[in-house]
Amino acid sequence: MASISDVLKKSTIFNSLEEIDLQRIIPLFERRGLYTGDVLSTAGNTAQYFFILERGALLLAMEDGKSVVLATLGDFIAMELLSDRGRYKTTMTVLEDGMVFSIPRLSFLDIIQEDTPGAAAIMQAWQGYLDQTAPFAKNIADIDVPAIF
Amino acid sequence: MGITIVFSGLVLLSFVIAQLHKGLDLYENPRKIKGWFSLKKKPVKKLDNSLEVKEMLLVLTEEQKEIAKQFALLVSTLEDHFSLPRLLELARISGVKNFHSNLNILLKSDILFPDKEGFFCWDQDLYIETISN
Amino acid sequence: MDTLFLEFFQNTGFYLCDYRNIIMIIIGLGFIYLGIAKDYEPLLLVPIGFGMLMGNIPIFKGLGLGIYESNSVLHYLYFGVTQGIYPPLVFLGIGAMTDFSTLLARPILMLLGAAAQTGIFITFLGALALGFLPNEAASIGIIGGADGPTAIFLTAKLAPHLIGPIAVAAYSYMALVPVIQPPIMRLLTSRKERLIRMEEPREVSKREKMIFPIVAFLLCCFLAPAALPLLGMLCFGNVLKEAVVTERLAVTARTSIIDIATILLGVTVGASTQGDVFLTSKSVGIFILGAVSFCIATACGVLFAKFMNLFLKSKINPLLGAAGVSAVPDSARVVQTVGQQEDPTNFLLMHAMAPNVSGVIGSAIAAGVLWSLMAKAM
Repeated sequence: MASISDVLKKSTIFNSLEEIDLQRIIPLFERRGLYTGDVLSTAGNTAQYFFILERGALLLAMEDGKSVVLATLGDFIAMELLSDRGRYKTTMTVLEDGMVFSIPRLSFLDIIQEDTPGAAAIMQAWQGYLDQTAPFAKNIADIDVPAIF
Repeated sequence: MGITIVFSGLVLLSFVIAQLHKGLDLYENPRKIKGWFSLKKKPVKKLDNSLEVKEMLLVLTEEQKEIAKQFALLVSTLEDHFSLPRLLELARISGVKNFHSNLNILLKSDILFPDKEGFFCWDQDLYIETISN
Repeated sequence: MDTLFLEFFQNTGFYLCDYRNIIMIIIGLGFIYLGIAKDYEPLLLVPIGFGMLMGNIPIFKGLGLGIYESNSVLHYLYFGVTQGIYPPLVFLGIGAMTDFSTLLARPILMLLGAAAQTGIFITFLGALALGFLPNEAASIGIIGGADGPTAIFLTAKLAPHLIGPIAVAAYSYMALVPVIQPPIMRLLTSRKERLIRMEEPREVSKREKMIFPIVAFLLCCFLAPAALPLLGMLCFGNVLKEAVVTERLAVTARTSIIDIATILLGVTVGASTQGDVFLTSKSVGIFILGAVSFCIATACGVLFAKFMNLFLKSKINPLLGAAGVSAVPDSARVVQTVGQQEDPTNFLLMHAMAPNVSGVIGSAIAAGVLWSLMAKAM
């Protein structure tokens, strides 16, 4: 079983962070089990958490029938992939048993709204990740306004 | 008397058939008979549904192949580029067994693959190759 | 000149015709219409319908034209019916095209096929009570098995003079399965029962499918030796199918052989259905009893399924009992349709094939039992 530290270091979103920044955000994460068939988020509900995947597989069902399957260690399910203006826009279903770490949405948004190199690195990495993972999910013009997530 | 004979015949036949696959299993695995006489209790290895990756082609169990065929049937009712959640829902209402895990198996085997536009496609050639192995 | 014309006219069918020929020709045309235009069992109704036309053309006796004249072509072809040759050939083809895996996966469904044969024996008793002779009553009862070749085979042995009406009744009711069965099925089941979902069947190995017809044949024919011709050919056909090495024989059995037997069986049975035999009060009685037999068979299958559910942990959808009537695959399709009317996502067809094919075996055994009982009595 990997620790959150291991997962963050392997994640393309967080692996460029300084150790000090990592140590700040690690306590915000909480481990959760994934069980096949579980629904982690339902489109329309209040968005409370973002998630980073340790193992397992998740189906993210978006509007218009589009979807993406995430199954790699370090996959980050957040922002455009998951929520819009405080509501989940994605229904997330577990396809394979595994483990995630959840972080409260507001806590994460606070971090990336800070004017720090760490926050900028996260957002930049996020754009690259989104381009690779689900380019069709990109629907905002201004990436510097994370509060809309 | 006539219906008694018909009933007896079919009851007997159904009983024999019910034992047939067990008998055949013993015939194919004679070690099981030895196991009956073994005094030491051997730990039973629990078979899981994990897949062996073999030369880039996933080896499916017979049950998984049958379920893959059911998915193939459902996919045939959809467009070339289809919604994966829609396929999952169809699998659910069609009563496909363990449809989440089995969908995942098809994704892992690349029979189902994303088209980068948010939809998914079915690789028929790979499917045929996989179920033929 | 007038005398010549009169002599000529007296030799034509127009002169020899009576009202019974006309009625039978109309019935034959009706069968052809139902088969072609309405797609009701066309492979059966079209040959029978055309046979009726052939058999009811008014002819001059003594010229070796009619089916009952010993030197006619039709009579030679009819030999296959009277001697019970065609039905076993049809069963050979049926065996070569039947997949018994759903039956092997859940053998308990075989009992539904057995239960549906109860209709045969109840009707037999009813026909006896109405004054039919025992051999006639047995031939009428077998209509409830909803198996045309079996009905013709048994009638040819026990009551050959009734082949026409019995064959027509049996095939008519087989064609009307989608009309007759659903009301009975709905009457005898509750909505909750119709919504029962069946457990997924287990995987059946090729070896099991190979061994089954041999075991079934030996077991059933030791129990009821008179079932040998029909059951023997059914199981033989299945062996040809499952033993992949004899695939070309299986292909021949389920294509050419069954088609030839069906054509000759249908047309000669139709031709034997002549007005003086068919248009009698006995025929009306046969039709009514045949319908009763069919309905009782359906009801017995459904009720037995409900009875089994009292003891089973994994419940059976009682609609499957109606598929015990061996009208393959129509009664299985009816089960699917009625089940889907309650729940469109409930796929019962695959499960219904198990009692359906078991009904074929059951009706063959029932025919063998009746034949041996009547042969001893005669």
